[in-house]
Amino acid sequence: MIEWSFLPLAPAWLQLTLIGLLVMTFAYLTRLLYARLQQQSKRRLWSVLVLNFLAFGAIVGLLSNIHLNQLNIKQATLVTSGAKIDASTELSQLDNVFVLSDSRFADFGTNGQGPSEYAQQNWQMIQQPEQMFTQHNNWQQIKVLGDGLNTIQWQSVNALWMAPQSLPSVIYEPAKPLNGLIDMTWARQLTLGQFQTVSGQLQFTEVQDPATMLFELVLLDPAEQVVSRQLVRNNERFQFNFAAKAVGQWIYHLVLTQRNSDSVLSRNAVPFDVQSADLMTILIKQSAPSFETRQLKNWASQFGARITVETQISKDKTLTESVNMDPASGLLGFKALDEYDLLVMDGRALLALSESDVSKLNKAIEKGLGLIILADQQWVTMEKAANLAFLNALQTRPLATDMQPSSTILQWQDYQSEQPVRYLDAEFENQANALLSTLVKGSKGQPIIVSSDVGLGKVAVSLFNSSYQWQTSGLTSLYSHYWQMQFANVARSASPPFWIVQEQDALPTVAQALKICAMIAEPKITNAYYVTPDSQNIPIRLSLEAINADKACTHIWPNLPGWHQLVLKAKDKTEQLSFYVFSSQDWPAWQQQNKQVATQKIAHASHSPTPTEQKTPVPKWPLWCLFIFASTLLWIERKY
Amino acid sequence: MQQLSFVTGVLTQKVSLARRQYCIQFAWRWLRFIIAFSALSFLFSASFTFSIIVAATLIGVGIWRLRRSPTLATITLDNLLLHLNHQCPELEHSAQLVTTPLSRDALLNRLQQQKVLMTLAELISQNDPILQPNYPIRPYVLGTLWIVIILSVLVFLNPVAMLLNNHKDTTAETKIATNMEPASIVHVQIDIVPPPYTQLPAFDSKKLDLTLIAGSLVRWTFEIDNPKPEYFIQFSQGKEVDAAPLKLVNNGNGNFSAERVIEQSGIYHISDGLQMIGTVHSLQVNQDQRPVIRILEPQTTVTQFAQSSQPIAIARVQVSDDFALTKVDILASVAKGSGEAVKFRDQTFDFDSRIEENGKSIFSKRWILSELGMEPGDELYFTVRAWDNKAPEPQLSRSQTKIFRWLEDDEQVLMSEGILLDFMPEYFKSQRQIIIETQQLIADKKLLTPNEFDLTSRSLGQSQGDLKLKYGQYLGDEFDDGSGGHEMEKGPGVPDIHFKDGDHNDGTELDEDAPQQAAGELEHQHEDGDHDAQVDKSGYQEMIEQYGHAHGDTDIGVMGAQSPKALMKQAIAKMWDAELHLMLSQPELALPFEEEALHFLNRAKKAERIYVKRLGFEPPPVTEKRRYQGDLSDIRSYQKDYIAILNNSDQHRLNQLLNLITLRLNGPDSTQSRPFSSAEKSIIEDVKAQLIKQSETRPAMMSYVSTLEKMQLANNLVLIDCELCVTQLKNELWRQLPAPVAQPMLEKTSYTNTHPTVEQYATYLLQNTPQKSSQP
Repeated sequence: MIEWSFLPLAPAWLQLTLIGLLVMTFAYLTRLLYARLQQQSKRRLWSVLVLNFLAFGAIVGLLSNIHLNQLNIKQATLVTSGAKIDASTELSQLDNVFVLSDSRFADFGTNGQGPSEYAQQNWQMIQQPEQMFTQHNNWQQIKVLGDGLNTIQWQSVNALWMAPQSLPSVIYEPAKPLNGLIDMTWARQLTLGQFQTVSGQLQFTEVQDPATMLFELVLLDPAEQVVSRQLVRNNERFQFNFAAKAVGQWIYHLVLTQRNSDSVLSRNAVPFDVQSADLMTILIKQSAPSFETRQLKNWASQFGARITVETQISKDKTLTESVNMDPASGLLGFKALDEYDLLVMDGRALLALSESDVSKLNKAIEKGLGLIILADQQWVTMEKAANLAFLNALQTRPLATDMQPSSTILQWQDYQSEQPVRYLDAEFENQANALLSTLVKGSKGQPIIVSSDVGLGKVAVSLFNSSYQWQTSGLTSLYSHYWQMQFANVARSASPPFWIVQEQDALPTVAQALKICAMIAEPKITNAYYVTPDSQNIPIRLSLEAINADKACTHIWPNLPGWHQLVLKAKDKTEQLSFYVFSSQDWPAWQQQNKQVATQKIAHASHSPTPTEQKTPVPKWPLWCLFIFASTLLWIERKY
Repeated sequence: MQQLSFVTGVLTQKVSLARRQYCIQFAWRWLRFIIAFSALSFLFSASFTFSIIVAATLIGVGIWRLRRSPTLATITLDNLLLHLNHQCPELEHSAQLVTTPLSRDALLNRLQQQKVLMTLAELISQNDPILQPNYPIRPYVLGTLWIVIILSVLVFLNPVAMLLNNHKDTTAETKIATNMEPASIVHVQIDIVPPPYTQLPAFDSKKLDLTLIAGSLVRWTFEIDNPKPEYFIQFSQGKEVDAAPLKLVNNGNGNFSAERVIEQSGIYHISDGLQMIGTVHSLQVNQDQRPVIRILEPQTTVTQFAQSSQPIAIARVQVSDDFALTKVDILASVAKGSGEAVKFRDQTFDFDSRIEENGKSIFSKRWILSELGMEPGDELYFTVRAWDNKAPEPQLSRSQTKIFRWLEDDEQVLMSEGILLDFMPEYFKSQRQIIIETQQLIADKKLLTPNEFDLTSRSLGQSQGDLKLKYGQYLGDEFDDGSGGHEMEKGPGVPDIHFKDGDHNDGTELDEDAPQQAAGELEHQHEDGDHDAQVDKSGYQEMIEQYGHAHGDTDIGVMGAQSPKALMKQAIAKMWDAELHLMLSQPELALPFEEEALHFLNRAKKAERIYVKRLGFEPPPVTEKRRYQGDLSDIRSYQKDYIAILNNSDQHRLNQLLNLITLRLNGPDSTQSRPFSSAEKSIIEDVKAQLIKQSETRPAMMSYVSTLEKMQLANNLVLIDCELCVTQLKNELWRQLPAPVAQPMLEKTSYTNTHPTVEQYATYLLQNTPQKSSQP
């Protein structure tokens, strides 16, 4: 639809006056023409009249503002890495094409045309996707070509969007998936001895016979020694379990080769940080000395754990040992349960507690204390006191009438004992319908160690009380991992301040925002900084989270790949966390997957935009030509 | 006129001849200077170019001087005629008339001229010597020859260099200031001649990092581009730096060489006395191994023959050495009689046969015991000895001792459930005897030569090993490593815990064998008690100490701690340690273990009786009702306090260095070239000491020591001549780290228990948890 307005900037009286003058001029000229040409042929008369009319019309048109009104959608095209650009791509015909500068195109077309040539055709090279909105922030639709943007990039884009209620519609044309490893997960920080689990999936699109084609994945340690090998097919998942040898920042490598071929298809880094454990405080209370608690005490104490052992040696006499305790602080023991992270008791000791002690224990557990109960035959069969309410979810019932121990292979997390061990053949009865966690199970899936949440604390009951055999048999690794797992699951959570470790599937890359958070003990953190791989100390300002006031976060933009270190200095301790930043070339298939998944989500969630009316000015050069043409003919007619 | 022209012509020729002869004489004279100055300039500068320049200059000067020579200028016809006037009176001082143009009217002059001409013609015809120019060259030729000879001798002896060398110590700084150009090695040739006894061929190497057999003669030859008078090879072997560097011999033309017999692993570098040339290099020395003896037959320590049989003892032994064996024999002893009346007769036997099999020699020997004069009740002990061909002193290995026993009729082999300790053959030295001899050896240390001391100590170690094996055999540990006692004692992976008196903190380490001492002392401290007055009234205290917390702990070990078998195993564990130190010629360190072993053996003998008694007694299980029901008034509470943190500083240092290298290698290039801090230098130094210690048994470690040395010299990780060295060091450090032991850990959550929301949620959960019914 055409919209016309005569002299739009002039006031209405002037418009009307000028129109009146034009009409009167035209009428007067027509009369003069008629008088002059009435004696000549009618064809000439009519021709001159028409030319006059056209000339007047052209003048009016030239003095007017003419628009073409259309319903339209404002669209931008974002070209990202992996976009296939060839002769059939009509990008050159589109306006508003933005190209991310780090894009690696799948194909530049048969003529080898590169981005520099394209840039001359209305393409704008941008460093960050947010730059699309620096000039126009009212795109209604964004067409994304290639791998797209990852979650963090989309968050940045959305943050810049001026009208959140009308987020742009996203149309996505994904690039062809790359060959390699995708969907990777591994822990970014471990405590020494903890098992690392690296898992992922193989994606290979150029397989002729996917069913039979085998690939070999090799995990190499930092000394380039093979840790493990695994054969995988296309789209199969894989998993490696291992323990790093020492404290430090280590980079393992996953090397993908085709089976029976030496050529390496991909080699990717698996970096993670191994730290020493935090010092914890343990109370062992037992009715009689035992090998189990002795080995437990020896193992934990060698790493600096503060341990108090209370052993009943007569009816009302107790032997109290304290290991690694500060002598100035004195012996604590059962009377100061809140000072401990974990309490380990045998069944008899628990059942022999007085009313006041049980009450004290209940309160301590509700405040976060962890309790591990080493069950024995009497414990399994004996009726528990009513005041031990936290045991309601962990009642036990013997399965064998003669209470003879059974044998099984113990399994926990991704680990299991090599030899069968003897355990108390009993089953757990959850009389409280509480949510239970099975920490250790037998080979048939029977629970061996079960834990239950009680307030902020946890209580676990173990039907296996001879783990010391592993230690005395030289299976120190197995033994230490078994107890480390229990401690991590049952003991009180670590107290702040500490940095929060990245998610297992995080893939931080250079020049992208990275959110880092810390749990803090005091609201004001003044001394926090991060150290770049080239040893630059950059101060960071942590801001308290609105929802969780114990948590403070900020964003950083690492500009170098490699190990970065976060440092948080509190009153009495310094907390450090190392994290690895990948370059944009690392893990190409996984990066592509992350981007494609994030962009697909955005595209699916977006709605079709409502077209808006758009005025397109009508060009005036045809009117000008018409005016010249008509005037020329009229001049010729007068001349001859 | 003809006569005049003849005479004039002859005289002119004579003048020309004289001029020529003078020039030749001058040349010979000048040649002496040219040769002398050129040679001296070469001696001082050692530069041919400079010498040639000097010679050319002198030649130029000589030509110039010759041209301006006044003597040459005087050799003219007029002067010749003047000379003839002086020499020949017949010329009446009128010889010049020959060349003087005369007018026709000077008749007198013409007559005189005729007369002179006639005289000169006569002189010419007589070839008078006065007409011959006299410029002799012979003395100058001889003089020149002498100078050439003298200078040749000087060049050969090079007294200037010797003079400069002698003067070097006092003028070293001045000389360095004038010659600061760093030298570099252009070419390396290393010839290695293994010791002759190894029969290994000599070989050469272009690399300065060497792997060789101990005792090899190594000859280094270097071509150095900026030759200085002296270069040295500085060795650092083991922990000590060789104070006397090896001086390189200058062979001329920048070639230097030196040779040395290498016995130990180490590192070395080349220096000019002030600074190092190139970098640090390693010497990996593989020591010659002692012969290895393995007795194939008999397999048991004691082989018994019945009294009625005609015993034939057969010994088969497999002996091998890394190079060659020189001698293998049997040292045997025949024991006759028993108890105090036992008599020994030593005898040496050669083997009957020798068969080569897979590079190992199998020796066989067959005895008919009766032919050795043995009777029932006698015993034959034998040990195989093997010497290798190591020079100058062959190495000796001795096998364990085996026994052939010819039983008497009435002798019985008594084996029962209990441990019978009275089974030792007469051959074995008792533990007490080993202690006595060890003490004697320590006392005689100053009197014995080191070799005798080593031999005696190793012999005692052999005896201790035999005794250990003997007890082990009776405990069923014949093929065990014997360390069961160790493992049983503490359990693998259990750290050495240092018990400390927590209150007094006096650092006293309590003996593991005296656990009750620790408890008793602590009790005394905490209770302010009169320990003696309170303890043992009822005997309960003793029982608790015995069973309640043996080894300073709450460990019980009721049966295990006092069982004869456990005590015997503990004794054997101590014997292992004693044997180790005796074999290492450290009797002082072995003695405490020997005494402890004896202590455990004695306890085992006493415990045997208790053990046998207990076999028939099965106490009923203690029920909960019966627990702690006795009179417990004398039982007291204990408190004790100690520190038990694992001390593994060596491993920690390895880990620290590994972290340091890994972080720098994985970081930007700038981190690799960053200088080490003092703490980092300390780590490197500590790890280097560890690796040097390891290199005593693993020479390959020297290459990593060399890398550490290079890192120290470079003060960063950028080693120009060895790009892969740091990576290889990193890999080795990683390999040396043991399997990890998990540490107790706390979970880190993204919420805290003190957060109000968390507290409210916990309260909610508790309120909604069903309570157990109090009714059964």
